[in-house]
Amino acid sequence: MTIQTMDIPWLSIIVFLPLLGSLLLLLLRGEKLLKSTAIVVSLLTFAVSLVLFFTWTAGEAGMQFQEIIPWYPELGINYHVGVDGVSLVLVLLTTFLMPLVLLFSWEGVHDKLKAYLVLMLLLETAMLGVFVALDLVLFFVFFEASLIPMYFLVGRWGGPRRIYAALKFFIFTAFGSAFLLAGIIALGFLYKEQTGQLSFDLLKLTEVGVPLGAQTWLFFAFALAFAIKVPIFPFHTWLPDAHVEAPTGGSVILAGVLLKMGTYGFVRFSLPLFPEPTMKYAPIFIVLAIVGILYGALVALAQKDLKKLVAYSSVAHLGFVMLGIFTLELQGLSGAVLQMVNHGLSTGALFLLVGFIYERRHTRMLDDFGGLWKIMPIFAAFALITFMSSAGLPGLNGFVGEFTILTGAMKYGPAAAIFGTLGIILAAWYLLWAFTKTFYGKLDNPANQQLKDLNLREIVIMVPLVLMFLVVGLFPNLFLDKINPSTEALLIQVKGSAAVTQDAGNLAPATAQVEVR
Amino acid sequence: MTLPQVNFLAILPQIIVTATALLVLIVDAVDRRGAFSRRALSWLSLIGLLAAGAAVVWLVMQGGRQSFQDMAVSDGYSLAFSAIILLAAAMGVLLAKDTVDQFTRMPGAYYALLLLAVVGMMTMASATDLIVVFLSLEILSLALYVLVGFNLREPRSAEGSLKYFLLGAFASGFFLYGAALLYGASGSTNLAQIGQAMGAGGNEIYLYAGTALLVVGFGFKVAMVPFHMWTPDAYQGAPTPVTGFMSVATKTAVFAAFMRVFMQALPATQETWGWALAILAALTMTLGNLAALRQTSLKRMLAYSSIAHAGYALVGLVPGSAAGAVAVLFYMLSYALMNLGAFAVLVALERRGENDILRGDMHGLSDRRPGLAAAMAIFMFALAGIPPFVGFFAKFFIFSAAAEAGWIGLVVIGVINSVISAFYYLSVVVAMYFRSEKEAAPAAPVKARKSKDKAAPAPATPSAPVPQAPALATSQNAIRLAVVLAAIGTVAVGLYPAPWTAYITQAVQSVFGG
Repeated sequence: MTIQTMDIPWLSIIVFLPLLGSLLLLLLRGEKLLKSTAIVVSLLTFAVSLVLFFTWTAGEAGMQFQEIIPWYPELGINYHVGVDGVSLVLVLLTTFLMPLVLLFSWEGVHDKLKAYLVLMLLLETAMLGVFVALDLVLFFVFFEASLIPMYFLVGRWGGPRRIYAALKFFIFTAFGSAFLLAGIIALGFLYKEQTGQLSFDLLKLTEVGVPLGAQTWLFFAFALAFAIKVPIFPFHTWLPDAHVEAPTGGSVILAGVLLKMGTYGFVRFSLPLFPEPTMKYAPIFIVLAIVGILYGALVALAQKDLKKLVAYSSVAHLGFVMLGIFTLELQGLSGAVLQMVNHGLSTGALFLLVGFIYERRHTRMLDDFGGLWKIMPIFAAFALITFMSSAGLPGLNGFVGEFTILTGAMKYGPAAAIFGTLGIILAAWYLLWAFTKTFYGKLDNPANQQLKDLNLREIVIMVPLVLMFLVVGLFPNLFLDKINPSTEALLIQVKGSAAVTQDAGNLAPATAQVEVR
Repeated sequence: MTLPQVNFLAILPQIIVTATALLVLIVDAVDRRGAFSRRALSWLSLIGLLAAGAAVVWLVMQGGRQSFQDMAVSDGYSLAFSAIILLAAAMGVLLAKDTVDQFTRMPGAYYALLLLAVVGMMTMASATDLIVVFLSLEILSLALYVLVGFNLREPRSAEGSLKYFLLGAFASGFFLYGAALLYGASGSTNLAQIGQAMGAGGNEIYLYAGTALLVVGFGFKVAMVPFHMWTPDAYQGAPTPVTGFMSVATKTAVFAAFMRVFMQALPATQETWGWALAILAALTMTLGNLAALRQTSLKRMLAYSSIAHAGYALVGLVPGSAAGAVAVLFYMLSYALMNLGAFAVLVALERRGENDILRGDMHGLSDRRPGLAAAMAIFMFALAGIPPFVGFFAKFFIFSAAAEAGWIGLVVIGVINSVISAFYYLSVVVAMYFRSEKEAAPAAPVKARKSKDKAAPAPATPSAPVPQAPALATSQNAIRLAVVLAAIGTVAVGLYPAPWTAYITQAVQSVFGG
């Protein structure tokens, strides 16, 4: 670990800046002031998080910017935070999306605006905490705490079935977390048996290793919690409800960041803590991932509601991420981490687009639209880029992630890669189909005749997203350089050093090839 | 044999509270109808409780162990429990300050009985002899029987009181019988001496039978399944400030004695009672939570929830370890904060002359009274064990203690129960935040309530539009204070636990070692 940042607790600043902002909001009055303060706070958080990116120690696989403060010394719980390449990109994704979401909420949210903004900022603190926590209990606290604001966002500002959706979201996640909690407690005491000291510190636990006999049930306890959160088929039923009923801002955060907590949990905890069962049961997760990819895509094809279509496409996209993780190949894992970011950007953008049109027409049914290109060209252009990004068009972000994942899948087994590719084709199918139905054809619905194109605020929201599609698509190594050392170290922990170093050489051509395009 | 030490310092807090209770009775008797006593009585009680609290703090700073004839002691353990009991009592007084007229014409008796119950509870926490445990159990029970039946206008109050009394008398009998058997087995009623005698080997039948009867006696008082039958009726019938006070303080006191008796006098049979309590804890958690799911009355729901929480706390007692005792003590502190907070909100919402709140009454509360709704939401999440509130950390302590002793199965039952409980705690949040007031049943009283509510602090308000309309308590300042204190505690103790957990650990270790 480097000394560069010991004096300034950058991570704590990033995590708690939104919390302080939300407390500040409680004291303020007036819609405009509230909204602009919230946006300024989230922009400030983003700016501080860029410090991490620019002062990053290149090639370092371990945790950077670590901080440790004793919290519950009697139980060996510490406030221990730190980031490696994997957490870094997710922290950046979170801080990047939040200002855009708040800007989206500039109009459209009037009911209890202050509460909405406060909850959004609280949610940001919880999400950032999840990605930087290195103590398992601290992680759990943030993981669970993030439920509360999202529960209110869905339940208070959501659609007609909001109460049902909010409760389902909460209970599903809480049920999984119950097993996670039991697993965490057991891990702490297994560590105590080995060393005589109680600790929930991830780094200490991985150093000593979890006894083989306990690994299997602990692996499944953790996997259940994360699988529900991702969600992996067949635990996905809460997702369409929550996504569809949530207000647009909530959907963006839910899809963009919250779902990543599950996949991140697999990468951060399941892999290094339980290497044996991870390798042994990886095929189960590969199969579930592929089922998720195909199922999500097929169900998306059958949707009439644009928002539901995007929600099911999430199931498919996260199937890709899971596929990448459980190939346990460097390309697969790095691709999965990158794809987490890509999915956050693309699906976030998709939900925003759905939000734009819903605010104008108060419907999301595909049949109500058609021919929108003629009257909303800017909207259509942004939609086209976003749909292409989501479908994995080369040159945009989605391609890089999916391509690297499939390279990994190919090494794992051709069948996995073939089914994965089938998923990409299906994705292109439902996305283009939805695009055609919305933007091509005749403008025959009279209600659509008067639609206004995107205004400046909405363009300002979309431009950074599109820029990021291009940045990730054209310069993936900007991020992969930071992700790779960490994922490589992770795989060494899982498979032992020999197996991984062999592959490492092969990654370079794959990403270089992408960059050429 | 040396003469036992008589040290009145050991029972200083009890003396102060007893004196306050007597003073309250005298003031009440002297100044029967004066406006003076109405307000003064609550202040007097509060000052007495604060003085007792100061005595507790002073004794803590003195350190060491003061003993009153080997019958009762003041050590770190008893003082920590006493502090929680005093906190609960202070909340009980605050909640009654402006509402006591609604359920009784004898505020003096109310405060005096509450204080006497506190005396019994604190003595129970410091008892080191089975006789003293029994005496304090009776002192607190008699006061509580009366307090539960204090609301003369409410038939349920009398019903609850009678049930509590009849079943409680049985439980006391069981306890006394158990104590007698243990005396027969060991030749002493002193906890340390029983422990020594049993360690050397005594009459096993008496020992096991005595242990079982003590479990029944204690189990009844903490509302452990299957001895919980009285709880919903007594909690629902009792005036709400009493319910809040007794749900927290009684549990705290009885768990203090429960742990001291079982860990000091009965370590010889720990294997057996550990298993028995584990099964009872699992039953208590599960049954309490399942029954709470079906309630529409919030008081009844919280009654079942308190049964479930007794179950969680029992889990901490199962391993019979110092870590478990630390966990139970921390659990009681956190339960005091979140549960009394929840009851304080109910008191704040109760209409004049009514003694209960239905879930429907909470509809749209976030629009009518945002502060109160936010506080209630915090208490509900905390009770459900959702971080970052104190309830989560309390459960974490409990489950850690159980896991350390290898009770992983019990931990899993416990965490699943937390999820079940989330259903009914969240239903309150749903009512407050996600449903609008229009969905509430009676429209007319709600309106009247609203107008009265806004004008509440001003004394010169012209009478409400509908004179018969039920109204809130005239002044809510004391209740508000209680809500705010509990909410701050629920958030702050969880996030900044160091001073509390450090003291609690040290207090427990000074008694049980480890």
